[in-house]
Amino acid sequence: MTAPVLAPPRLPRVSALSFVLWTGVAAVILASITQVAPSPARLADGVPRVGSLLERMWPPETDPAFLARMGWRLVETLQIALAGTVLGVILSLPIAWIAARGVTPTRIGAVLARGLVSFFRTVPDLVWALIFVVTVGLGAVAGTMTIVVDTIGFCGRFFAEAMEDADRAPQEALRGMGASQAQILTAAVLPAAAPSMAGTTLFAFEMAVRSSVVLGLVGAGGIGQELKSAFDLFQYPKAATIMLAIFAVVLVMEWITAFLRRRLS
Amino acid sequence: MIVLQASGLRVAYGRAAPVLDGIEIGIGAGERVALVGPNGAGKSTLLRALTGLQPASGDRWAFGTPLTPEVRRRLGFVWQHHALVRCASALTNVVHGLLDRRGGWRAVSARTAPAAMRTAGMAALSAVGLADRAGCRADRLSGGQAQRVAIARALVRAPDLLVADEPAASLDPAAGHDVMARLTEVAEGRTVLFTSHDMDHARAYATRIVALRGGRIVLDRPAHDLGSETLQALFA
Repeated sequence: MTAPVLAPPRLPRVSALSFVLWTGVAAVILASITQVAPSPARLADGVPRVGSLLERMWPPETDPAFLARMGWRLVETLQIALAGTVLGVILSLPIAWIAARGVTPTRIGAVLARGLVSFFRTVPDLVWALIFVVTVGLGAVAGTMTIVVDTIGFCGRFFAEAMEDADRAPQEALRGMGASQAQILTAAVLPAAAPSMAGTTLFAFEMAVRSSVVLGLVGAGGIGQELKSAFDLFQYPKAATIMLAIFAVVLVMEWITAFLRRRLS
Repeated sequence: MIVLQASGLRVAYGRAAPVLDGIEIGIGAGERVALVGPNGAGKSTLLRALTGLQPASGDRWAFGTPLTPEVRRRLGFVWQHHALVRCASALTNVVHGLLDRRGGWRAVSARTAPAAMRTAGMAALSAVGLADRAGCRADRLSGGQAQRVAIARALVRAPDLLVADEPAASLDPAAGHDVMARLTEVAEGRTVLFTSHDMDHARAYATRIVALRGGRIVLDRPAHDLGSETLQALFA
């Protein structure tokens, strides 16, 4: 006896609403690509110009006086990243404590702290840099303040999550024994969250190094300011040297932080 | 002297049937009381309500006064599944027992604790037979050892009343008996209140057994008066 032959399953019916929505999404994507993405013709035109730019950049500038000045600018860039990260991490700790659900000493404060951290994170660092350049003036201080705000936006969120993930049982035990919220934070929450927070701090520093390089483009100090000047004045060999130096510094910093993260884990 | 007392104790969540209702109990100094009953009987809730860790209606007293945070300082707690800070050393966890709102900031770690606190911590660890594991991280201790550290953390407060919620629940039978034996040994001369779903532990280590069912006390007798059949019938 042969088994009955079953009809193949039909394709699921697409509702009219889904069809309209998917068509709308596809239209938005297509419109975006046609309006702002490079066309093949434009790409073809651009390739020879890239070659020409590279030709004008070669050989990179090696004048000792210029290299010495760039060296100091790089040091200033790293100082912006380091000072901004350290200050940002220090400020992130109390903000994260207040923002962390289940750990916070004040629920209204938690809502405000989470809002503040979201706001700091949502506004791009170049916009913060522009704001600080206007308020505190051109230079490294504006860059450092930008990194501080950027770090609070990043670390504030991830520190709070690390605190929320800390084992609740010892916290409840200490609370039952009469410990205050601050004592519970110090004795039970921070030790449990410390490895994750150390990893987040290293990521924040890595991001700060990359950010501090470009902040100079809007006048917030560091090597980015020299890069902008070199391009503005068509001094392409100098721009090439600066870009190579930035590449080397960012790469070395990534290696160092990756190594430290491996050690931590 | 009555160490812990409650009258008309009731715990309810919303409109659901109360978890505890009409509890009348008094625990005298030097007693070792086991709260027993099947799962969901309300043992842990009663323990928490009696010690002020759980909101409840009714009257509660400890050492003859209303149960205030100040009075709760005279209590030592041992929690189910030890509740230790896993990445901290055994000694640091014991010293945590000395944290309180009046100060004791330095008790957040054995490294920062004053010498007197460390000495008290080591004495408590010695009492539970773990002096040689003082520097060991809590997450590297066995379940039984971790629970003994939790007992030391309660003991370091020199409590007048030692309260333990299912102290042997997560342990194998041998480790469970070891923990219960240590608990009763170090609590010699103190009042002890513990919950257990193990009738053998209740009969072996308590002087008085209070059985709960459906949130009410259904039996309250000296342990030596109770046969295993009577207790087993509670779970039938």
